[in-house]
Amino acid sequence: MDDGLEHNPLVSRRALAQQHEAAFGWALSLTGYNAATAADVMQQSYLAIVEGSARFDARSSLKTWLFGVVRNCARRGQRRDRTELKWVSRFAAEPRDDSTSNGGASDTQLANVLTTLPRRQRDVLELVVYSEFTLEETAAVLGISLGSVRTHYHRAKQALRARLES
Amino acid sequence: MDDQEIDDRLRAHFTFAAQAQPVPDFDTLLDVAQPQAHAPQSRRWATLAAGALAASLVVAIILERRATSTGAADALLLAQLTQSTRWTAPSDHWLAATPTNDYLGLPRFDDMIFQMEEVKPWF
Repeated sequence: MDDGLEHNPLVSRRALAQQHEAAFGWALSLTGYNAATAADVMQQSYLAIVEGSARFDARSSLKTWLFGVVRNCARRGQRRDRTELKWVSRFAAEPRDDSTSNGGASDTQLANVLTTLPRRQRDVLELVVYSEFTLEETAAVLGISLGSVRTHYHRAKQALRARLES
Repeated sequence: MDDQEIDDRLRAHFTFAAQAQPVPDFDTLLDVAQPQAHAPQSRRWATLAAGALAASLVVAIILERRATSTGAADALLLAQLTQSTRWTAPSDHWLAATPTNDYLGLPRFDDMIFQMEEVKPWF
């Protein structure tokens, strides 16, 4: 039997484990694909969940809520260490040579275009396209209005199309 | 380039970027978080103690300011004067105990009568 956590009775260990990989992917995106920082963000997120400072009340799906917690922890960490934030931002802005990391093929052109987009637009694209959130869920994760999400999404798509075709 | 093509390229890119990094072990992360979660109880007490200390400091500062304000300082001075007067003012007990009240600089009563008697004939 998989009971809820002591300070978060509606959250079970198994349910968290099911979202772990997707949440880590989101943490990676928020930290400029820095694995160590992303792991730290995940650790802080789980700590907030276990101690109950982040409480799930089932108003949204567990995945939406978890992604919101991860985002808050990433932001808190970035505020705490501005030096690291600068480093991460610089790291995120540089196109990486992914061809040597796992032998796969990277879309360098797309990666370069993505780095020119505002942070919020990239977040919306990742949540909608990769994490398969609806626009409403994306708004909940980012803590912004649905109208803002729609605007960011369409502007991001337009910018991508224009720059990839040019 | 249509929307679907952009979505496909984005999905492939994000998947590639995420898979390029090893996913940390979920159980390890959560198990490390568990013992830390017990800390808030002691942290709460520490916060409470710090809060009480800060509150008492604030109260002490306020009281100190009140005591050193003009009105309070005057009251304090008056109280000190009253107390010192109580010690230095002649009392019946003191006057009775001492053979003379010269030390107070007061004229003798008999001398005063004498002077009056001396003056009287002039009128």
